[in-house]
Amino acid sequence: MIRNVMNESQTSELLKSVQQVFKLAMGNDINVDIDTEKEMVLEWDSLNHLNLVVELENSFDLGLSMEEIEELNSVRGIIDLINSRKSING
Amino acid sequence: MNIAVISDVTFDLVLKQWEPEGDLIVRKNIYAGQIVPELMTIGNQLEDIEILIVHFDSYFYRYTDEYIAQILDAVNIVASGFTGIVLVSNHLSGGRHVSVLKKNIGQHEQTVLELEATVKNTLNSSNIYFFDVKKLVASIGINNAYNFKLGFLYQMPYTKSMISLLAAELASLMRFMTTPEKKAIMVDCDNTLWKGILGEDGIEGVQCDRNAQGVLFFQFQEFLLEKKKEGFILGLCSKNNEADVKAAFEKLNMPLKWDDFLVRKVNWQNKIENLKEAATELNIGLDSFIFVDDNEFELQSVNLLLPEVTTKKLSPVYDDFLRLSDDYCFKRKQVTREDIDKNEQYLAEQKRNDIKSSVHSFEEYIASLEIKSDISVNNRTDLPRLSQLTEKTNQFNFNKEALSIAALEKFIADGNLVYGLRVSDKFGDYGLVGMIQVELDGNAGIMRNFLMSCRALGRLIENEFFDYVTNDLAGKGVNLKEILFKATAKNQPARLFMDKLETAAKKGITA
Repeated sequence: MIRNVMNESQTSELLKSVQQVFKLAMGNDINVDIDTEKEMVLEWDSLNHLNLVVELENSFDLGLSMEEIEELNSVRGIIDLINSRKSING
Repeated sequence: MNIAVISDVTFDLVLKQWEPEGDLIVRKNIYAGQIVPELMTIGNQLEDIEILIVHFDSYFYRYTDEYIAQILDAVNIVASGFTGIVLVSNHLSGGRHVSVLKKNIGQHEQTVLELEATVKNTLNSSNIYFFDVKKLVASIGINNAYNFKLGFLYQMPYTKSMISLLAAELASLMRFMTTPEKKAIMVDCDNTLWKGILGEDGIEGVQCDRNAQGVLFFQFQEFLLEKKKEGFILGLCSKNNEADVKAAFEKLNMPLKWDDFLVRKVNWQNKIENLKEAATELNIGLDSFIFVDDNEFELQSVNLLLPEVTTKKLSPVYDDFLRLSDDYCFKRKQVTREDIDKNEQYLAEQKRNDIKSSVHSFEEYIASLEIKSDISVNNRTDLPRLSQLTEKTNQFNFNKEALSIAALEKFIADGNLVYGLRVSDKFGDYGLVGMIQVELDGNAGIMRNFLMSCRALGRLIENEFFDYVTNDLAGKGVNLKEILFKATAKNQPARLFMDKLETAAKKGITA
C-alpha cells in the first residue's frame, strides 16, 4: 500500500480549499477545520451532503465512487481522499 | 406569485441556486418518485405557477410508453382546470443513455424525437409552457450534464454545471413568463447594424455582408427582420446625419431597408430624448422598449436615466451575439395573426394622422375614416387574442388582470358573456381590439372588465361598443347593475370614460 505523506504547508493549502468548498455547499457561515466531523455540523444534513459531493467533485475534478460518497464523514477523510487521488493521478 | 415544483428527481440544489426574484416564492417543492399519483392529488391546491420537472426518458425510472401517456394525461387535466401557468421540462436525450448502450445510436435518436413530438402534441393547452432542458444538455453535452451515480444514490442526476444552467434558465424563463412582453426594438447604426462609422468611413467603408467582418452585422439585421415579422416594431436611434443613414440603406444591399423602421431617430440629440420621443410617437410605454447599442456610454446613460428600457449590448464577439439572439426579451409568448399585421397597422395609423391635418374637425375626421366594427359573443376562436389583450392593454383597461385562454374559457363555460370587438377602416384592419366581460347572475349583470387596445383609442369606438353591449344585454332581459373599475397608474383613458359614464348616469342618459 502506498502511504501518502504530505507536509504541513500542503495540508493547510488543501484545508483552505476544502473550507471554501464547505462554504459553497452549506453557506458562508460554515467554518470547519481539520478535526471537524459530520455530526458536529448541524447544517451537514443529507441534502447538504449531496451538495458537498457536487462541489467537491467539481472543485477537485474528482469522480467519487458510491462507497466513498457514503463514507465521507469528516474533513480529515475528505483531505485524505483528495490527496490519495492526487498521488494516483500524479 | 406562488410557485410549486413537482419533480421526479431531487430538485433542491437547482432551486437553491435559482433564488427567485421579485414576488416569486417557491411554496412547495415535492419530490415525487411516482409522478402520476402526485399530479392527480394536487388539483385542489394549485399555486400560480406549477413547475413539473419530468424526466420523460428517465434512465432510472425507465417510464414505459403507457406511463408517459398517463403522465401527459394528468398534466393536461391539471392545466385545464387551472388559470395559472404549467411549466413542463423536456428532459430528453439525456435519459435512455444508459439503457441505450444496447441499442444503436440512430435508433435512440429516433426514439427521442418521437417522444418529443408526443409530448409537444399531447400537451396543447395554451397555459402549458416548455422548459427546454434538451437545449441546455446539448449546449454542454450529456457527459457534462448528468452525474448518473448521484442520480442513483440521491435521485439527483445533475453535474454542478448542469445545476447552474438549470437555475439560470429557470430564472430567465420565469422573468419572461411573469413580465409583459417587449414591443419595440430600437437600434443604433454604427457598429450595430454595420461594421464601421458611417460619418468617418463613408458608405464604401462600412461593412454588412456575408464576408468576414460584416457577417455578424448582416446576421443581426436578418435577426431583426425576423423579429419584425413576429410583430416587433423596429426603430433607429443613432447619432448620425439622417441623409447619410438613408443613403447607406439605399446603396448597401442589406437585409433591412429604411422603411422597415417605423420610428427613425437619426440626429444629434441625446438618445434619452430620442427614446422618449419614440415612445410618444408609437404610443407605447418605455418599459416595452429594447435598446441595442455597441457603445457602453450610451447603454449606461439609458440604464441610468430610463431604467424601464431593457438595454442590450451588441458585442463584436460572435458567441456573445449568439447568446444575445437567444435572450428571452426577444421572444414572444404566443405569436398571433394580429402581431404579424401590427406593422401594417402602425403604418396605416401614420396615414390616418396625415389626414388629420387636412380635415377641419375631429368629427369630420372620424367620419372620413369609414370605421366598421364587428362584435362577437363567446367566440372561442377569439380567445387567444383576447387573452393577449388582457395582458398587454394598460391604458384603456377597467381591471388590469391577465387572463389565460383557459380562464376565459371557464368564464364562458360558467354561463357568462365575453364580447369581442373587431374594427377596420379604410386604411386597414385593426383586428380584435376590444373586450367586454359580463358576469351573469340570473337577470343581473356585472361588467367584470372593459378593455380597448390603444391602437383603437381616440376614435369614439369605445362608446359604440359599450352601447352595443348594454343594448344586447337589455334585449336578453339582463339588467347591468354594476361596472367594476380599478384605477391604476396607467389607465387614465379608462378613468375618463368611466367619469363620462357617471356624469351621464347622473343626468339620466346613456353614454
